[in-house]
Amino acid sequence: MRFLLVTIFSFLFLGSVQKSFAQTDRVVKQQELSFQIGWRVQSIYDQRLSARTKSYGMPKVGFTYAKQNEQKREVLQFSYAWSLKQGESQELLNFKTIHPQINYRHERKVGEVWLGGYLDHYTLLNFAQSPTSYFNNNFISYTVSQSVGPSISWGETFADQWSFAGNAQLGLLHYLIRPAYGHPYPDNYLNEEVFHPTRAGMGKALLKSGRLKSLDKVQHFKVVFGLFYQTNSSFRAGLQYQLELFHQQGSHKSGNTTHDILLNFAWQL
Amino acid sequence: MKYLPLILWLSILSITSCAQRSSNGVLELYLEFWTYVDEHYIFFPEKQVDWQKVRETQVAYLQDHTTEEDLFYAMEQSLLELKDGHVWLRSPDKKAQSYNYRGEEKLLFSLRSVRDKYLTSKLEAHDDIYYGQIGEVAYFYIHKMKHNRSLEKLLLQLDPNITSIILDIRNNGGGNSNGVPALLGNFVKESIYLGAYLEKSGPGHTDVSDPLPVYAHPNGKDPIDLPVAILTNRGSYSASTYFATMFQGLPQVAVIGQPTGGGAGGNAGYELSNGWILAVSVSDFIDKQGNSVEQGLVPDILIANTKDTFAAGRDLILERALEWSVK
Repeated sequence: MRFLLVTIFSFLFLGSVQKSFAQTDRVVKQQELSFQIGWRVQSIYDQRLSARTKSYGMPKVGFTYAKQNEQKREVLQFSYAWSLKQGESQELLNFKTIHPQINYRHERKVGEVWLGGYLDHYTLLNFAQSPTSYFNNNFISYTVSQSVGPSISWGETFADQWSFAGNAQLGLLHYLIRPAYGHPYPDNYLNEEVFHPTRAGMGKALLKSGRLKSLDKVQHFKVVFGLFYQTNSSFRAGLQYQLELFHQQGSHKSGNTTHDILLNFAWQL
Repeated sequence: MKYLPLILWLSILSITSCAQRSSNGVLELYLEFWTYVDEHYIFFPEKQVDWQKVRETQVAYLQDHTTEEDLFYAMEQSLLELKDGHVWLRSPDKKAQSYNYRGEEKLLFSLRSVRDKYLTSKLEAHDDIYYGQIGEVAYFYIHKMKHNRSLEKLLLQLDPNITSIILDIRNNGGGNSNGVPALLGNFVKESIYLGAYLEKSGPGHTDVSDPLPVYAHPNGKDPIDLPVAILTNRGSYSASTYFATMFQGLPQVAVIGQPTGGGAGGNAGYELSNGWILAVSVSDFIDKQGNSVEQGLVPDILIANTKDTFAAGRDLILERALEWSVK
């Protein structure tokens, strides 16, 4: 329910903002390479490890390559967020999180916006950090998802050098990989011909262990807003905010809600 | 109207910033704990524990006992019913009492006694492995199951005049047995089936994977063609039980001593909504005959040290192994 409300509010917000500008979009010219660096605040839960939701701050970096002409746009983005070493904690369990992500979208100009689709690879690794040995045999839980869905982008320039840009994506179909049940082996690994006590060969088995899931089982939504200043014809810098929600409803539910504030430095190629 | 985007955006933030927090009472927390164990513990059928009855008993107790101490006690008593040394519970302040897999008997073993009364060479040490010779028998005491590679190196450097090997794992409470099949590759000329793992695969008590077999495959080198005696007692637990069970799969091996403490279950940890953590067994190991070794591996030759002989400095288990080695 919360996910549905967020999605509805985000699209209403997008619609109301989009109407308030009159000038044409000149956000990305030809080809552009950009670098993002910033801070993430996340609320994360993983019922394979804990009944609790945990909140952490962590750094995030990213690289984006964008290419567009008047009608077509392609954007490829790689991002990486990771937990910093934590100080002493009263809690008996903390998560150390590693989150690499690759996102590709292809859009066409439709009126004032860009509409298209996206493909996203999302890997969330949660390592159990405990002062005890209780998690020695299940020291990791993972969520790996390949998603496809629609993407909408918009942007406007104003006051000559300022521009505003945004993008929203909603996952409709996912290839989801989660550990099987007890120990964090993937499903395909619990197979006589594959299993090995030293975990050899687990990578290949992991990739074969996914299941196709639709919106009712996996909810993945992302929206990003950015405000940029063009310093000269080939460089612009800006500030971005990204909200991403990922929740899956398997036998052990897991989810991650992230708020990223990023500095963005972009060079026209 | 111009503030509508801001109002909408603040609404989004408020919706997404709500984190889940536990506000469960004592009874709800106990039921959360009980359900987790019910859906994840693998040995209910084997141990024939009436887990429903355990719940009824503790829920009745918690009707009149509602402090955190009472809740901890209820969970602790519930876990003791499982009689499993791999089942643990702790809060930030304390650890629950664990099942004593050793039983009531005293573990009568002394490495000092072996060194002083039996070894004919100096006792060397490397990575929790203590070793020497008793005549032409190579003796290894393995204190913890951690260093299979180090043990392999030592076994491959045996003196040419050695005629048999004793691997003593008495009082070894466990560690990591994953490398044992590879270690056994040094002893076999052809692949030998050692046993199989069973993994919990769903929430039902009988939801278990098909057996996942483990083999010793020859590693291409000349195999160590010597008889091996594995010495065990009730203090040989967890990975030590796996070790002894896998070795027992080889034709030239005899397990000598007392039944091991068992502990075939590999456990997994979980944090309850109040921040307490527990670990329960989610996997099992079965021997070549298909029997679970959770309750202990029965040796090929059963013998125990007695208080009197132990007090006199004799190690009957070791002596029996030496006798077996020269046959």
